[in-house]
Amino acid sequence: MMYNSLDRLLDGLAATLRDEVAAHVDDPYVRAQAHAAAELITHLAEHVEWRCDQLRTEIDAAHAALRLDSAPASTITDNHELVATHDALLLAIADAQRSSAAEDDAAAIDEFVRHYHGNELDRFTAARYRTRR
Amino acid sequence: MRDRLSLWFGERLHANDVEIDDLVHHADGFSWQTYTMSVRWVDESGNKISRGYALRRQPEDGVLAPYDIRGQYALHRQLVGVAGIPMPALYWLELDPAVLGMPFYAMERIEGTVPSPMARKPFGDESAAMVGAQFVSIIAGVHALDWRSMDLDARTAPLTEDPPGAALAEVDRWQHFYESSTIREVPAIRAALAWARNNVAVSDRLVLCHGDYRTGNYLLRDGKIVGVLDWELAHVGDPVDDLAWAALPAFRGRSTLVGHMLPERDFLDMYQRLTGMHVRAEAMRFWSVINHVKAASIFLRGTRAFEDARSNDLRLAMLGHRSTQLLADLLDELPRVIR
Repeated sequence: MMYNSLDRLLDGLAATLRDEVAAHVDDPYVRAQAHAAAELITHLAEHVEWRCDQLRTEIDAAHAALRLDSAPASTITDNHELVATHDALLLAIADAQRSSAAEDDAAAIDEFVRHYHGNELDRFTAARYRTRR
Repeated sequence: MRDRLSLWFGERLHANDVEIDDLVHHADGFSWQTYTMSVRWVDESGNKISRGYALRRQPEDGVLAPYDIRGQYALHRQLVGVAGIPMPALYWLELDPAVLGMPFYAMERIEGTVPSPMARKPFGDESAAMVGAQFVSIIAGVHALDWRSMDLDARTAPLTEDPPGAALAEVDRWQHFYESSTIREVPAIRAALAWARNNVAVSDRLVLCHGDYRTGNYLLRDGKIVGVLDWELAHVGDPVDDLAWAALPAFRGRSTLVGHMLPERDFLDMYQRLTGMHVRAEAMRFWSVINHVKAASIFLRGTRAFEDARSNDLRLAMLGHRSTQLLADLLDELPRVIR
């Protein structure tokens, strides 16, 4: 999951294209492209959300690492609730990291941390190669 | 802006009809802003004079806010003229925001280029080693300064003169910075902070550290470093802090060399020869971990500024995204189970 909220990211992308890029471009064709991209992004914001499957995978992994007997993430259907649950579990992981956990618990947390960031890196790397295609 | 600067230089140079040419706003950083320009005027004897200036302007809200321009200016002033530490000459401090919107100071414009750590090959093979040797020599010179006799602001001076205590103060500083920056918890940073508190490894001395000494923060001309830039993270601390920062994978691009210049072993050997200090592997690891936290937290601060809509600069949003590689590098430094 990228670090900004999706709404803010899309709003900022559209605003920059409109106010910073288009406003400073003299070529009418290029200026029109920037305005069109800004409009498309604004409309896209009404249609997209962070991927539920990735959020559910990370929520279930955090539940397991924290040894929480919680309902599986598949029972959460609202995307905002998935994001909120995901962020709350990261906070719980941070609390566990600050406490002096038993060795087994610490190993489970470490496993979660490495998986979590490993998945992030896989997505980051995939995006970089997609950009270069 | 050109007109305001023309008036401002006119007052300082006691000249009328000051002309500003080649005005460039260097927009490659996320903190202090740099403008360079050529200033032309006629002096009292009628001589035509042209001189290059660089202005360093305090940002309204950068990734390292809050700022203390007086402290920066004072530090720069004390470094000008020190043998072996190339610094641009310093001219005037302007605290009145009427001229450029924020306080700034004027210094000499040094001709040269700033090699980018992201470039595929910023130096040729031969010049890389030569620049590397000078790079090491300069930081050894900075570390040899008698900081106790310098006028340092509260941010630069140490909280304690005990090396392990000073190291823990840096851990506290970057933990606070992280916590005040991040939008959501980052498990790798929590893991690093927990490990660092239990594995403090430092050298036996405190020195003036540059704080951001790396490829990308010096000017190069004809294969020589002619100016060391960006001292805003300077602080009294462990010399290995600077060495580990310069050696971070984030500043190597795809190169295996420290800052694209030297193999890490040669980099450390040279430093040890020049300073007589033994650089412990444990200390390099400790400071590498803290410096990953520092770099990632600075990135996250940028992302936070974007999230709070204080800026629409997309590069700030990109920083959060770019922290992914830094955090993966950080986890490679940590043992499997944090103790």
